[in-house]
Amino acid sequence: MKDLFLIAVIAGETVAFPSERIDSVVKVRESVPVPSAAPFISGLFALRSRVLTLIDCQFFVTGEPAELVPGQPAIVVNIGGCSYGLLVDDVLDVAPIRTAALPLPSQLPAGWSEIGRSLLELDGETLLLIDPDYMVNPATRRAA
Amino acid sequence: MDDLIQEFIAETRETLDALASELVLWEQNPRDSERLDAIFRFVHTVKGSCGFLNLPRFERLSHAAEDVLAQVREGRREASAPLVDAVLAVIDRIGELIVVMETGEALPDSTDADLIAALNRDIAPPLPEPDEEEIAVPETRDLARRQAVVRSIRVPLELIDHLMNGVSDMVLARNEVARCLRDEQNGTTLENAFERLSACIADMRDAIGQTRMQRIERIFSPLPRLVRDLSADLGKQVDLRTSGSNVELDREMIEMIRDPLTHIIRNSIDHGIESPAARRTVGKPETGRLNIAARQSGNQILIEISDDGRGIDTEKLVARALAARIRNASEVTGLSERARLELIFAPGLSTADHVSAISGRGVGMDVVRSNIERIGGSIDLENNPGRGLRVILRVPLTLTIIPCLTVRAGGQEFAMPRSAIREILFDNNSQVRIQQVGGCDLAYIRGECLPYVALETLLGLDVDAEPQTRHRTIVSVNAASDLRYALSVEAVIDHEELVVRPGAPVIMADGLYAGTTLPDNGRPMLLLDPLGLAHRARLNEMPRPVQELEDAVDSAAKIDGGSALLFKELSGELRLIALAAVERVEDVDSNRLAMAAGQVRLSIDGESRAVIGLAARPETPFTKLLHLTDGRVQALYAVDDVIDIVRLPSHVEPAPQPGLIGGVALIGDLQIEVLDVYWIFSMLLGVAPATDRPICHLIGQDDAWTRSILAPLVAAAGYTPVVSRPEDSIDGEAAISIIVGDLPVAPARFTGQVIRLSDTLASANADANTIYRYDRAGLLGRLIAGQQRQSA
Repeated sequence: MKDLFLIAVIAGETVAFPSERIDSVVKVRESVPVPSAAPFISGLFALRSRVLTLIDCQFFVTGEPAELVPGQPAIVVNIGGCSYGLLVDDVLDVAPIRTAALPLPSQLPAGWSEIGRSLLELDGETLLLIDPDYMVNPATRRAA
Repeated sequence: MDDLIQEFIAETRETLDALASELVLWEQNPRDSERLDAIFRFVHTVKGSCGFLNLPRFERLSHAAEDVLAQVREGRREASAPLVDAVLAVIDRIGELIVVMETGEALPDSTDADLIAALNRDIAPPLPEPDEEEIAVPETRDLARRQAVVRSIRVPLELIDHLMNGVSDMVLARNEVARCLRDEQNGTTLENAFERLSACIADMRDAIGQTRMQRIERIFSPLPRLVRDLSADLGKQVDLRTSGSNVELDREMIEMIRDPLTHIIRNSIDHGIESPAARRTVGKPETGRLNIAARQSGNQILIEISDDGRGIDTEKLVARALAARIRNASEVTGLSERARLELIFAPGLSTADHVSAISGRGVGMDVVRSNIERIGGSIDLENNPGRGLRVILRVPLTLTIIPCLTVRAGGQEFAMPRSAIREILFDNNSQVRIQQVGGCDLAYIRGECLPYVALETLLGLDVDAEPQTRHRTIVSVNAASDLRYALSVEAVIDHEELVVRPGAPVIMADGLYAGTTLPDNGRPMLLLDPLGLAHRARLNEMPRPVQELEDAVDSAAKIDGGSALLFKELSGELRLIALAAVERVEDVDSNRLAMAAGQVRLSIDGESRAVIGLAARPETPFTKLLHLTDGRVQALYAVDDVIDIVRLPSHVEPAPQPGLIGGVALIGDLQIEVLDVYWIFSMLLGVAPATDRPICHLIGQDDAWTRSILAPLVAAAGYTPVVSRPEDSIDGEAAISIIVGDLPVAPARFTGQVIRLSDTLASANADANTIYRYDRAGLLGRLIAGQQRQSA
């Protein structure tokens, strides 16, 4: 389980999410905006009887809020007792990666270096490993 | 093993709280062997489970405590303050170790030899005073750690059984529905099955709600210890009494009121109750009293903390406010006594002459108040300078299901807690005037001036300028006890009870929202925080011209008879009803009304209720109904139209007979009948049977006055009047005897209380039991007091 990663697409780029943090992947039909909230919050959506906060992953990278396309996938994570949906462009695969993680290159643009944790290699392709904790609460940026 | 340890931790923590308070009570009365036995059993249980779980350090500690208690039990040692101190220290140490265990860390390496030695010393030396800093640091760390651990709850087995049965019922009902669907039975069979399923679900929801409830005992049980330690530190003597510890409250709520309650108690002991010497000089008993009482009232819990200390010195408070520049001199001079008292809630104000370790650090009553208001509660003070202070906390029963008003703004729907809403008006109402003053909007509602803000502006939304939304709705909001404002929204949609959950921290951080909820339409909705909105509008940073006006309105309300709703009956006449009794006005579809059992009844919320004021099903498609409530029971009253809200004059001429019409009020030149809400509810629920009423003997001449004037008054006060002559022998136990006229009757013959009614004003008040015959208030007061004694 520890070596499994969810491969998804954020802002056109293929990235990896640690699978032990993920509850499920759902399709979001509609969301309700949260007025005057932080710009990376896309809104609220209902998952059965629960209300989840939808996080716009693209915003961290491009600085542009994404328009929700009905049926767009969101990765449901539970952090600090609260459930969030991380809105991504697409979810591709779940793959085991056993190679050692590489540190982030220093020339990475600000957006990516903030949400990224390390680099992983999958079938000769290098992927950025995303840190879901940072996305739901950027204020608690790791001290490192 | 982990499960066992978790259970041990939960159990021991609960036991420790109870144990500490038992010990304190026992210290006050060392001869109470029953209590000592109970304590002994507690310690013994802890020791037993420690041995079983192989926790040698716990076992050593509890064993030492048990030894000492055993010696006391056998009479070989005396219970003394140092001994209790030592036992309490052991309990504290066990508590600290439990916290460490809970976080999964290794137990710290230190011995408990010092504590155990203290137990065995006959006269323990004063415990080494640890540095202030040293105390503060572990406390905050413990708190952070404690929040990180898994939250657990202990639920009575009965409730779990009930839930289990409920689930089985639900499965059966579901199967039934499934069968109906499969057989394509769409008629009443399916409806019945579905009804059953709905009932099951509702029942389950209630039961689940109960699992969240906890006795308030949970915060009361550590109090004796707190009070003991505080009074020992401050050299005061305090007698703590608690009552109503069986009142149940949402678990979450209990956590929220713990800190405010502790703070108020600290204040009470530190600032309120005087030192024994000071109390002696003012003629009070040396031991101060602190009463803490909890009770449920409707869907609120009232917690009263009263002491017999010196109360709040408002003069000093005002001086402090001036010194701290919270108010300037001109503001202060105009303040009423009440407004002066409210200064205690101003941030950064304290009446303590010097800052002590216990209270008076400047984080004071303002924090207490904002914490209480954050959970939808309120705090009131009753100050008797020199004689004591009573603090009344009101908190809602639960945080999860909140009666809400749903409103629309900028094309989006929001919920607002109804407890904060005073009134809803349209902006074209003649009672409302909106005016711009220096760039900010003010709303004048019936002469009261309130800051006026649009919800869209606060939330940064675009104001929807569609034609049908030209008339905006104004919601007058009571965000805090002295912070009111008028909020303009696009429309008010509905009133419903919503299950509210906390939102994600990133959303809650703003303070604008109090949570999220999922209404029936499946679209998530945000619950607005009225106080947060006020902060966003920077309302609390403005000087409050509202304050004085509010006081004026308050005092006016005392003089007149409160607000009343003026409405038109279906028969056409105008009548009044007390506004406090009207919960809401609703237009119902007349199809929901039906004639049944000789009454017109409405099907509402899954039950059938009688509608007052209708003789037959109305022809019109909609019927306007007033929802009346006495806090518990609902009643429905059909009206033609609602006209206005008026203020009742102080005097309402009472009707000669009790009935639907309670009296006549003069509004302008019009004489308008006022409905007797009390009568409506008493008819609905049935009056108290006459046999249960206490007997009141009316002794005097069997004249018309006694029979037709005095007797009805006595009956109305809840007694069975028995008229007799002075020479008659009196049989039956009478609660009260009233002697009419200045008859020479020896009062010794009568049981119960004796009241003498004198014919003239001059001879009245000759003694405490003589009242003038037309002193209605005096007589009724005595009768009602007698009733209360009866029921007590």
